[in-house]
Parts: sequence; C-alpha cells; structure tokens
Amino acid sequence: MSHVHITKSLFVFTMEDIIKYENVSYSYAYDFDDEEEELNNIQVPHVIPFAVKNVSFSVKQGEFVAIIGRNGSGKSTLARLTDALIFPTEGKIYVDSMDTSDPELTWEVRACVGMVFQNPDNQIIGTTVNDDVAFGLENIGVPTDEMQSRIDEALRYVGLEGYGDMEPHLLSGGQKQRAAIAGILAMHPKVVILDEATAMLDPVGRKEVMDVVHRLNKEENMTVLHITHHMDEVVNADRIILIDNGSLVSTGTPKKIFSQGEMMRKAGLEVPQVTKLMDNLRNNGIDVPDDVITVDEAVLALEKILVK
Amino acid sequence: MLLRIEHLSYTYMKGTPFEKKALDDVSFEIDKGDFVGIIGHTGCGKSTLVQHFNGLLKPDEGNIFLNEQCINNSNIKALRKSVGFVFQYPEHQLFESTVYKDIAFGLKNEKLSKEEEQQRVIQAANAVGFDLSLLENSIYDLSGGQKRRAAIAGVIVMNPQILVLDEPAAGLDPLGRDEILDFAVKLRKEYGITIILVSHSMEDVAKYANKVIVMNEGKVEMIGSPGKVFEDEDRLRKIGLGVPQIATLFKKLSVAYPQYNIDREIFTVEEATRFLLRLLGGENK
Ligand SMILES: Nc1ncnc2c1ncn2[C@@H]1O[C@H](COP(=O)(O)OP(=O)(O)OP(=O)(O)O)[C@@H](O)[C@H]1O
Ligand SMILES: Nc1ncnc2c1ncn2[C@@H]1O[C@H](COP(=O)(O)OP(=O)(O)OP(=O)(O)O)[C@@H](O)[C@H]1O
Ligand SMILES: [Mg+2]
Ligand SMILES: [Mg+2]
Repeated sequence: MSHVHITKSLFVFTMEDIIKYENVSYSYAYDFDDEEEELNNIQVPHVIPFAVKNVSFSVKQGEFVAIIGRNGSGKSTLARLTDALIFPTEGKIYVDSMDTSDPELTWEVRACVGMVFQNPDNQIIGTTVNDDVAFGLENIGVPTDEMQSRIDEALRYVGLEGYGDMEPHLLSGGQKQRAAIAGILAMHPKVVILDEATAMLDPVGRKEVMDVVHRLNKEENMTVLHITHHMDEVVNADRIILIDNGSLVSTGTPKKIFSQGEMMRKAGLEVPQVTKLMDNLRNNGIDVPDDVITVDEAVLALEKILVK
Repeated sequence: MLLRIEHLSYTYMKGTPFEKKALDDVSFEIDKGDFVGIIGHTGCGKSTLVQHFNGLLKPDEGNIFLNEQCINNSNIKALRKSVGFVFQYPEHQLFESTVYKDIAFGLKNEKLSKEEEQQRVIQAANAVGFDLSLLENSIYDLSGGQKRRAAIAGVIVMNPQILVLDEPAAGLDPLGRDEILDFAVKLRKEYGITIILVSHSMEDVAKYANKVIVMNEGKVEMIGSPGKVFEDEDRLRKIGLGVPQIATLFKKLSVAYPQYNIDREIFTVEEATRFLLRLLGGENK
C-alpha cells in the first residue's frame, strides 16, 4: 500500500496527468453480478441507459478541477468510477498510472483518491468524531504517535476543534459534513474528490473549508475534483468540466464557461449573480464585458461607465 | 397568529458530559401566509427549532402555539396533516420500495380512489420537477438530487397548512432549487400555506422570504424583513453568515459613489438590473 505522507510532493513543478479518462462509459444496468437474477428477473431494457457516456479528459497533478452539471447528469457516477468503487463498462480510467479496472490495484487506487461523499452518513463510521478520523489514518498506516496530531490538525481545518469526543450521529447536518471532510483531509490523499461536500455549510464555513482545500491544493499539490452546485465555489478553480446527460459538454476556465450563459442555461445551470447582472445590462445595450465572474470585477466594470 | 413561540429552550443529553443547550429562550411569531427564512451558522439550532413545530421534539421550557392551541405535547402523527416537514437529509424520509409508493405513502389514510391517488402523486412529482419516468424506480437508484425531489413530493402531496423545509435546496441544481422554491411561493399564494425555510443560501432567503429569523448559538440574533437584516453585513459575517453577492456589490458601489444615492436594500439580480438601467439609462428592452 502506498504511503500518503505529507512529504513535499516530487511533482510540484511538473504538470503530469494524474487522472486520465479514456472514452469512459458506465451503465448501472450492467452492474449486477448475480447471474441468476440477470437471467430470470431483469428484463434487459431496449436501450441501456448510460449514466456516463464516452467521457474523455485528463487532470493534471495539482490541478483544481470543478465538475458541474444538473441533478442526475452523472457527476457522482464519475466520482465513484475515479475512486474504483465501480468500474467502467467501456473505456479506461488511469489514476496515478493505475488502471482502475485492475482488481489487483483497487485498494491502491482508493488509497490515492480520498472521496467525501454527498451524504456524510454514508461515510462516517466511527463511534466518535476522533475514532472516525483515526480509522482512516490506521488504514493508511499512520504511526500511533503521529495519529492525534494529524486528527487535531484535520479537525482544526474544518472548524471542529473540541468535537473529537462527540458521537457523529449527534452532530448537526453541517457539522457532519465537516467531520466527513476532516476524515479525508487527515489522510492527505494525492487526489481528493468532494462530492457536494459543502452543501450543508453556512457561508463562512463554506469559505473556510474551501480555503483549506485551496491551500492544500497549492502547498501540497493535492489534486482536487470538486463537485458542486455552488457557482461561487467554482470561480477559483483552474478548470471546469461541464457535464450533462452523462456526456462532457465543455471544459475550460471559469471565465470561459461562465461567459457562455446560453450553454449553461441549456445544461440546467446558472452563472454567478454578478455575471447574470452584467448579462442583463448588456442585453439592454449597456457596454459591459461578458467575462465578469466576481464582485470586484463587477465593481470595476461598473466604475468604467459610472465615471463617464 | 398561526404559530407563536414563547421562551422556548431545549437541551440535548441533559446531565451528561455532552449536554448541549441548543435553544435558549427563543420567542417569535409567524403569521398565516408568511414566507419565513431561518438562517444561522452550522450547529446554531435551526433544525432543533423547526423540529419543535411538528412534534418531533418537545420543549424543555416555554410554549408553542399553533392556531392559538398549545402543541407542546402533540405528537408527530397528530401534527402530520397540518405541518408538512422536509428533513435536512430527506433520504431518511424515503423507505418504500418505489418512488411512487413513497410519494403516495401519506395518502393511505385519505381513502382516495386509485385515480385520485395517482393524480395527487403526479401533481406533486410535477411540482418538484421529478422525472415521471422514474416513478417506478427504486429509491436507491436515484441520484442525490432526484432523491431530494422525491422526498419533497411525498410531503407536499399532503397539502399541509405549514410547510417546513430544512435546507431543501442543498444538493439541488439551480433549476431544481428554483422549481421547489417557486412552488413554495405558489402554495403560499394560491392556498395561503405558510412556508418556513431553513437555508444557508442568503440569495434564496433574500429573494423569497418576507421575514427573516437569524439564529446564533441557540438564540434569536435578529428578526425582520430581508432589507433590514441584510443591511448589516458586518454583524452577519461575525456570526458565520453573509449577504447575497449583489448586496456586497451594491454596498461597494454606494461607498464609491455617494453622489448616485445607490440603494443599499438591493439584493436580487432583478432589482439590481432595474436600478442600474434607470441610473445608466439603458435601452430597456
Ligand atoms: N445505484 C444506481 N442504480 C441505478 N441508476 C442509478 C444509480 N445511481 C444513480 N443512477 C442514475 O444514474 C444517473 C446519474 O446519477 P448520478 O448520481 O451520477 O448523478 P449526479 O450528477 O451526481 O446528480 P446529483 O446532482 O443529483 O447528485 C441518474 O439518472 C441516476 O438516476
Ligand atoms: N441528538 C443530539 N444530541 C446532542 N447534541 C445534539 C443533538 N442534535 C444536535 N445536537 C447539537 O445541538 C446543536 C444544534 O444542532 P442543530 O441540528 O439544531 O443545528 P443546525 O442549526 O440545524 O445546524 P446545521 O446548519 O449544521 O444543520 C449542535 O451543536 C449539535 O451538535
Ligand atoms: Mg451526485
Ligand atoms: Mg440543521
């Protein structure tokens, strides 16, 4: 099993592909292994529904990639595929040069990819918050004397200091999410996948957690796949992957993706409030740029015309 | 007065090392037809508070009146028809084998014909934008957002008097969020249903609520119209909250351009567009 210590990554200055998706398709309909059931009960549908369809892209080591798409578009399926929880029906995924379909490598892939699930109840298993974080650390062989400091650090990351002895089921919704995130960050995985991991956090909490993730991304070259419906969390990503109906629709910088309002709307998504405001003004003949995605950029754009 | 909360306090795990006073002397009133937004940082007591409205939790101290009747000791079953409740993790609310059965579950006691039942289920599913072709699917085969829509459909199918939504939009895409909240607005307009929305989205609360309750550490920190509450950005930030992006923009503009009398009570894209077009004299298509 690979050790995922906090050694300063060797790859800081090389931009190597750490994940590669090659023509990946996935259908849940193929996923039963009980042959008898397959023969007797399940009527094979005329059209096999694919949750992910012929997706190809790669992610560089240390990249911060946001994955966006409407409900049911295939984001979580893509995440599960990356973490070798399920395997491509067609195509291949390579994580740190490991073929995720190779049963001998399953555990190594999972050690490399830390995934925070959409629902923290599917993730938290310890009887206390402390135990829960410790459990993951034991699994990757962190020495006992290092354990508590790693746990404390992770709880601090997510603002849960003092909650170590609490039973997870007694936590509030947002506290549970924080605990789930702490459990993964404590392991310092090479790749972290956050599947709507911030959905239940308050605005400041969301910002704090995202700041930590961005910091680990920069300082430890941790690769991040961030799945979210919060467009304000996406503006700082290196790149956005937009998927709809299982297919990759577009990829590019946040500016590039958000300036295509029509494409976003078609994919069932929306742009940040200030982008929308600028779109509205432009449609009414006011000369403002089409790539405004933050409040400060909006202030700049408006200053230009207000001064006139 | 539809709902009146008087000096409500609640403590979890009394007498243990984990004792936690989650609500501390909370009082407020909600009128029939209000759209109330409840905001506050994680763990401040929002879910604890709203779970008192449907009888899931009973007050340690204080009283709760629904239609001037004390409901301190009413159980969930008695309140089910008047208070519809969508939990923060609605997955916990889904337990039937198919989505259809799950949505129809609450209707069991209403003695409807098969057709009437079907109609109600389809109406509820449509209202939350649930793909009808998935009605016969097992709930385990749904994406996160699809599960959430199913759970909400199962509650609104009952036509409750009060609809409590505990972070209903978490996990929904923007379209789904608008669908659910617009539907809440419709329920309010057409049937006078009172909506109580717990949310971390300042944008949604600003856009939909006529009354905002700000909680902090188990206490009511502020209460008032969105205009009044979101004006105090610093105070909100201090307690873990924020203001809609547009409010931040307008605050910055009003500081930079005092001469334009920039309205600081603007926090939706629509209001902002109207205001700026008037100021800048756009074509107003
Ligand atoms: N276990 C499953 N069995 C069968 N179908 C599934 C299963 N999980 C998901 N699906 C289907 O696969 C498609 C993609 O689902 P997925 O969970 O990947 O979507 P998502 O983009 O994560 O959506 P959300 O934003 O709602 O979480 C959906 O149509 C969903 O109904
Ligand atoms: N069953 C319980 N036993 C002990 N403490 C609890 C229990 N449920 C909640 N708490 C604690 O009570 C406080 C209030 O929790 P509550 O769930 O009401 O918060 P919330 O405002 O809904 O938070 P969030 O936004 O994260 O959902 C939290 O500190 C939480 O840890
Ligand atoms: Mg998902
Ligand atoms: Mg809650």
